[in-house]
Amino acid sequence: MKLRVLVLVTLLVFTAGFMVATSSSPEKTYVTGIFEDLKTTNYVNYLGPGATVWVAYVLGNMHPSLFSLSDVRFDFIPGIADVSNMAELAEQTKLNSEPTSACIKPYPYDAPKEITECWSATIKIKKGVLWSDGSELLADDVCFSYNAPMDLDPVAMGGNWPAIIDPEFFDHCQVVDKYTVKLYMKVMPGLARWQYGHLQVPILQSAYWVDKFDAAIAAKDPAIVFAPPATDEPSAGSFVFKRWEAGAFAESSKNPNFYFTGAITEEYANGAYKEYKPGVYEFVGYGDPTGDISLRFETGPFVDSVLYNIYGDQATGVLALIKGDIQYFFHPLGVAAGFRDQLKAAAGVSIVENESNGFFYLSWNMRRAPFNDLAFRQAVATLIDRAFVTDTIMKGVAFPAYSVVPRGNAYWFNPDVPVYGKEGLKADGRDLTRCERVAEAVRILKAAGYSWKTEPVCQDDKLVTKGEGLILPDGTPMAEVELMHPSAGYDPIRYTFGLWIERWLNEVGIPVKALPTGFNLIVTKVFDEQDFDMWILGWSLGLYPDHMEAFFSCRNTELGGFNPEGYCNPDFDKVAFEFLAELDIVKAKELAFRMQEFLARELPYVVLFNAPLFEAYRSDMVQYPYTQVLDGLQGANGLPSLVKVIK
Amino acid sequence: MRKYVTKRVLQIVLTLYIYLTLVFFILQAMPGDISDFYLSNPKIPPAAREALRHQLGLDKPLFIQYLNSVKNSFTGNLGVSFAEYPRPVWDIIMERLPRTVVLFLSATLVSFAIGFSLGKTIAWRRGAAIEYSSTVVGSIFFTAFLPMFALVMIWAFAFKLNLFPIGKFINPQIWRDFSVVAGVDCTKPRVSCANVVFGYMLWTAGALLVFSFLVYLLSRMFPNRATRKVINIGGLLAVIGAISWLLGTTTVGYLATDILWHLILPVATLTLYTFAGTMLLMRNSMLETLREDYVMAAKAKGLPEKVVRDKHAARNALLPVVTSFVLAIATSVDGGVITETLFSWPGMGWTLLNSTLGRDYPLAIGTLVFTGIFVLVAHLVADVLYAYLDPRIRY
Repeated sequence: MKLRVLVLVTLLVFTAGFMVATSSSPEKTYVTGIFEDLKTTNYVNYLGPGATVWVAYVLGNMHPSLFSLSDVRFDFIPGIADVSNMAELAEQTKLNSEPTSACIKPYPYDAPKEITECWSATIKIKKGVLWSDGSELLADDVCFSYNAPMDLDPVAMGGNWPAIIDPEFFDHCQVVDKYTVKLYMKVMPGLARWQYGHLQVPILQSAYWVDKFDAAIAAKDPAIVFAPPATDEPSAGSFVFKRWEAGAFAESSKNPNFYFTGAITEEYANGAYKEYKPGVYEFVGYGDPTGDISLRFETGPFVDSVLYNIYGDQATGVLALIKGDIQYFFHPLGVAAGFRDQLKAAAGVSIVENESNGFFYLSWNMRRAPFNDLAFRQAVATLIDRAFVTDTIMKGVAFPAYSVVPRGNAYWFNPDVPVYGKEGLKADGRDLTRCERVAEAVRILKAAGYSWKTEPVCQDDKLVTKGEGLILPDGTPMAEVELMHPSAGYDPIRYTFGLWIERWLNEVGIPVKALPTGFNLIVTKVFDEQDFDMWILGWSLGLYPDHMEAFFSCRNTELGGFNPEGYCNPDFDKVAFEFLAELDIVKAKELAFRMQEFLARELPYVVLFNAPLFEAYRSDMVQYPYTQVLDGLQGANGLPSLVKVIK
Repeated sequence: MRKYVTKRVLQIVLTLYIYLTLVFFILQAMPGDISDFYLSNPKIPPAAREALRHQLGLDKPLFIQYLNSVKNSFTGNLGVSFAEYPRPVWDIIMERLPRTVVLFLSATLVSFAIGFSLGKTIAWRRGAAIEYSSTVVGSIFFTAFLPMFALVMIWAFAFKLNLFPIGKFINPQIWRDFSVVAGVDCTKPRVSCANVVFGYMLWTAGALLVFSFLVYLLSRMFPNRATRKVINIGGLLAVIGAISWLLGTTTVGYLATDILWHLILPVATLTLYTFAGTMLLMRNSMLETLREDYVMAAKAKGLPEKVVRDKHAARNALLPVVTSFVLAIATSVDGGVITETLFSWPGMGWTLLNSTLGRDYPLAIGTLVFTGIFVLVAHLVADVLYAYLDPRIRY
């Protein structure tokens, strides 16, 4: 007995001693949580096969680019490019015609093809931009960052590399002098591949990466450049990667040489943008910077380091946040609905709600009847009462959506697309009632030559006679079709939509069977096999809405392409290709609006809903200059260079 | 015996081959592959997806992939992880294994110690209140829904009472202050200082166990009970002293204390969840043993109750518990998906879950093969141990 007491006392003494010894570090640390371990610490790998959103949160602040997008408004602004006003911005990003000989640079992987055009832009870079090791970022680094991946082949590198440097468009980068580079494009790019693409390539330090790339290029094996952990890589961004204890935490420390530390950013209500660092640089654009300022902040970092705690699931992350162990946790889908009330009630915790840049949709195999019939698609769209599911059934956790550009992407979002079953058909703007929807769908179908064995009858908002045996215009009865949608465990909203769509369609005699299906199986059947009738999935999108061309142009209908539904309309393609080639953002917007109208009318997708992104942070411990932004704080990697730790 | 062991080894190889085949084809039966994640970005051309499939060998016929997988498993080269490309699977397993071993070995030892002790007691005191209360409480924990039970434990002891950390196996705020541990530079790429400490913990535990056993053997050499007791107490004090010195004066010890601190809650959860199995097994085995004539004879001889219970009955009732213990030790290397996920303890279970969900076939197969071999060998060890513990058993 005495022995047991002795052991117990020893343990207690150690426990107490350990608790006393455990004290927080005096330096300012932004303590965050992530829910998946890093796949890699190698920045080149992270942009390739190691790309995950979790790695992006940690490594995303390491490298600058020539140009970038402003906070909150996403204006196109200079990064390390030496540009002080809109005239210079236009001048430096202008593509000038060159003789084709200037562009011919055969790459080992590039099948010889005739180059019929060549374009170049000359861009100056800011002087005095330093890497974290103290050396200066020069034109050599910029051109290396473009040319090395091109020599290795962005497609073979995989991941996001072909999207970052598109070998169909980009040719090479030439060093003009220490602070000037010349980018050559072999095909005239539009905004998507120029301002929103090649001008935002992350700049790597040539001295650090050159040997690794050379070895990989010589062996034609990208794995050689992906393999080194590269944790000692110098950074010209706000943070330098410091350490990774696998499965436990990762840490970045502030870059003492960060060029933009102390820079002031001002966004004006009239649309103007001003960014300056007194005595160092200034950029003014998008109007006269006078009047009300909608956003003003100073760039830090104001913290010495960022700690990324790795948790196994969101439940423990939520408890850690409430307890104050962490100040913010990253999650691409935000806080799960079940935790929101708990977080709202917690002292010191604030919840922010933001629009997310994505949408969820229903689509169909337009190679098959009756989905290849516009009238049928319009009738189905009319029958789907999105607001009923999002508001009445799901109690507002999502909101109805009607366009393939989410409303959160405000500049590109067309709010006036035609909507079947909503404002487009009613003068007073209210949603149609169930009976009105049924009547309208029946009218559309009848007008297109459909008939029924038993026609549906709906009176006083009640279905009196259920429709049965829909007969197609060619006289054949419609066979039962399958609607694949995610299971309730994977996504309750899409699951609910699947069930209700099945019910509404069956009510009017359209024989649909809803099949809760594993996400991977839906992806395989839709994209790899194209063996499906209807499916429900969703997309998370980039800022520039070139996804419309990818999802709906005829050239992407092959197996494995992004247009598995098989929608093919040369008229749409014409507008889509004009949009891709457009260099004027105002004209591009007009084209984007036309494309949205096109798609809302033709309905290759019936866009169903979108869900806001809820996030939580310790407002008693950290301060952000803003929290209202598309895709939330996580979309801005948690704002590590702007956040201030107040406790 | 030799013939039996040889036969069993051959059976193990055959079983392993069948197991490998099943694992491979079950994983392949999942729709799609890891290249599907390229479908999330419409800017990535299909050619890049094809390039990835080629790079990972996914474009080869299934049978060739199968042969490669079997060859890799039998040659000990488990290939390269798809998700953490191009990191070797072995590297990942060796990183995660010590964490799982420390957690589940601790939990297994504590759970068996409690289960054995309680099972022995409640069988001896059959019909007493302790039997009913232990059985009821044990059964409640045994039948609890583990994810919820673990969350309740975290909520109660880590969140509400603030007695323990909320998940994780180390406190980053402490560890980030140490860039060198036991001469190992933690800031170097792919160096896990936690694993260095886990390694020290396992070696130290092993050394102390050997030391304790030697002390026990030494004490057995003295017929005098008082002398034996002095030697045993001395040994125990030496062990406590050694642990105190290691934990209190060295960096590794300080960091090991942090790991032990994080270990308490998951071990307590697993112990509460599993001890009833051992307890009931021991109880039933003991009840059988208590009916034996030699127990009756021991009682009739007037031996003290403790001696009859512990030396005559419990030792003979131990056999099924030992078998169960050996298998539990072996299966502890595969960790537990739920426990590791909820306690943010990235070991083998977490690795298996993520590799399967991410369709990282080499890593999933590597993890399953590794744990499969352990379990198969453990069965052999249990059989051999059976013969050793019970001389009546002959193969």
